[in-house]
Amino acid sequence: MPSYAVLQVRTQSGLIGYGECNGLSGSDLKATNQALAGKTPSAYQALDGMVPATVRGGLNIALLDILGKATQAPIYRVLGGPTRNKARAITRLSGTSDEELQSDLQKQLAAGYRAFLVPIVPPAARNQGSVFAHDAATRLKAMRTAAPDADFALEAQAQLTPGDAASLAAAVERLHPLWFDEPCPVSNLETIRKISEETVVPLGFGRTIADPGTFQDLLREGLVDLLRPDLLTHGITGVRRLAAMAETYYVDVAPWHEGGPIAHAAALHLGASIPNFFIAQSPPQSPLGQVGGTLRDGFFDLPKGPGLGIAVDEKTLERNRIA
Amino acid sequence: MNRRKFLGTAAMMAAAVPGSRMGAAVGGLKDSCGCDPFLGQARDASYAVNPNGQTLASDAFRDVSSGIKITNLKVFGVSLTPNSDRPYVFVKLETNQGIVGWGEGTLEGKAGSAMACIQDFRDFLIGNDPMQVEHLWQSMYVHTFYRAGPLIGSAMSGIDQALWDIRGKALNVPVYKLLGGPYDARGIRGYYHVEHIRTAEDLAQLRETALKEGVSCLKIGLPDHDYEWIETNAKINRAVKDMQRVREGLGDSIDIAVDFHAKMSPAVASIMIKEVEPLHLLFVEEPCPPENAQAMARIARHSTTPIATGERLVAAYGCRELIEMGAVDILQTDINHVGGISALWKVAAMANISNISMAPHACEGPIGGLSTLHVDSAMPNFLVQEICSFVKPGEKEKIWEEWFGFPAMRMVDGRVPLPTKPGLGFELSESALSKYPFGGTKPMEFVFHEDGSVAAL
Repeated sequence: MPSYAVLQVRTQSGLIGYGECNGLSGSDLKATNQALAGKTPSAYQALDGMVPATVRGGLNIALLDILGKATQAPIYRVLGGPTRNKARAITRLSGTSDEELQSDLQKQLAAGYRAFLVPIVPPAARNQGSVFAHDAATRLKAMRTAAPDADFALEAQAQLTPGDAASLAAAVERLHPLWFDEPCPVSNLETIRKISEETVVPLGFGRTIADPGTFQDLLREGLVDLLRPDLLTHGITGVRRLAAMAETYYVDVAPWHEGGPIAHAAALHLGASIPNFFIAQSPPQSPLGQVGGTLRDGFFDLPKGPGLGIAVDEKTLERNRIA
Repeated sequence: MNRRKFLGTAAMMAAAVPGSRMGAAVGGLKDSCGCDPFLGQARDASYAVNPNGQTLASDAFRDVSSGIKITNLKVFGVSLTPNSDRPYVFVKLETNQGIVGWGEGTLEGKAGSAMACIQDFRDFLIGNDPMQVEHLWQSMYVHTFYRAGPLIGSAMSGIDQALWDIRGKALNVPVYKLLGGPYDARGIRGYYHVEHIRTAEDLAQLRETALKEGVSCLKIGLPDHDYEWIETNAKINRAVKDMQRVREGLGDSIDIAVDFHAKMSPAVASIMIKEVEPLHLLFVEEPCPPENAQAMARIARHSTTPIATGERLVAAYGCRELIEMGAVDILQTDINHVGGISALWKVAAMANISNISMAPHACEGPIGGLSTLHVDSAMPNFLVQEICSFVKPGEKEKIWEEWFGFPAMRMVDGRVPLPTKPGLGFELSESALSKYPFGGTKPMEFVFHEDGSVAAL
């Protein structure tokens, strides 16, 4: 069962906003309460620097939820959207064997998904090169055959060496995967250059990057084709700021997060407020209920209510509370 | 007043038949590059006419629409004096719910073109949801095909500001709240210009008045009218001495910025800036023309004096190279040319990632000025706002106050107060503007060197 760090912000006028963080310590929460008491909640940008870094993303989501509720508008409308009328969806296939992945593919196709993240299991030993790449390409080909109209992205969770990542990318580039997600760690950017120069498979990076300057380096050096910033680290506004920069490099943004329904709703609002959004990844099923609109033929409907546009039931939250 | 002249462009453009853009979307013969080989010839009715009078954009967003629709676009040329080289170009958007939005697309020396360009965007707007400013901005930029230079950028700026004004009013909040401000609730730190006075007595008096009124920063120009790309010892010394005199006269507690106005080359600018390094200027503005980021970077790397530029750059795209090179310390994006509130916000966000400060330019009319304040208040990297006026207000400020009912763009204790009303924060009537009819497009200054060759203005 997934767990979430849900942030609740209350205003004097009785509005409640929700956000999600990547875990929260008691001391950070205390510091946040001290910093924010009595402050105007609409100043979501100006308040950002007053709270610990771990709180910023979730606080931004909660404050925008409040601003939307106060103005009776969905967050994307507060921010000048919608820039689109639905949000393209992707889901991660579960399983490790070909049989498990194929079975989940059929299940998720029936649920309405048309794009899938295929997990890449790193080889047992490093630098396996062509053998490893050949196996991954074979698996992707089988998926293509099973679902000719679907699209696939490869997800390596930053666990490959640049050499293995480049070999794999080269082996699959004629299969036109949407992108190759986190092929290797973002450390020495020159190692990423190896992948981006040896192949034309679009590369996605960002889930571990906290410093916007690193995104700028990747963009400037032409090493990234899809920004994957963590929505709960940067918040809706932080990702919008990164998207503004990415736009000038003709690069799309697909927010990443490991949160639940609140984070998912935030991702849909973000997607509908920027011009260069590509895709939103569905979170695992949640005890908090239905998330962010219906899935229809590969796209999520946009939330329509004020703020995040989702009903968070405090009783359900309390019932499932673990800390 | 001659109403026809006042609304001249609007009346002329209203007579034109909209729909050629729609025609391309609806169907008809096209060649391989998407062109219509029958353009300008008779076509069948289904080609040109959109039965609902709606654009495709508004149809696509029917399920997520706010219910507000743009019903009319008006453009006003406003000349405070008949010979003004920068008649204000104001945009007014009207909606089906009675909310109106005002914006400014003034382009110095090109008023007629700016007014016509705004009207050229009519089909992008009428019938659409004004709340979708980002979507409409993208449509204006991308569907223009040639992207934007200063003319299209200024037209988009006016429309963008008007859309933000509508959104703020519809949501009943000032625009700065939509942007997540304010960082400083007291208002926006600004700087005034200094008239070309250089006597010790004048400077002493200016210093006293400025300090008394809380003004913490002033900007001066250079003493000569024209500079060549290689300059003489005499002219270099005259400029350096002038800056030194101003620092001596104003003292150390007032920040001083110097506008070089792109009058010289990187070679000459570098010499002058090195000479005035001990004066600890707040910044030197536009030491060379703006197109060449490498040239600007070369100047900046010669000196510790901060370098500022950017008032002539359009869209975040136009600022990318300077920012990624870290070429300058300060960007002076102009909300009336860059693409309005939307684009100024994006430039500031991108600049912040490179730790570049923002000192937005605003040397046109009051609507652009008031729009800028909202964005300034939500910038983590805000430094100071240009106010194209003097410590002592003049005729222009009287007229602005007459229009808005408050002293727009005037500082109180060194800060311009933030507008508190919804939207951009003012009411403006068409009849108030009609006292200052459009005097026609007038060129900016013609400046020539001693030998008659062209010099920068």
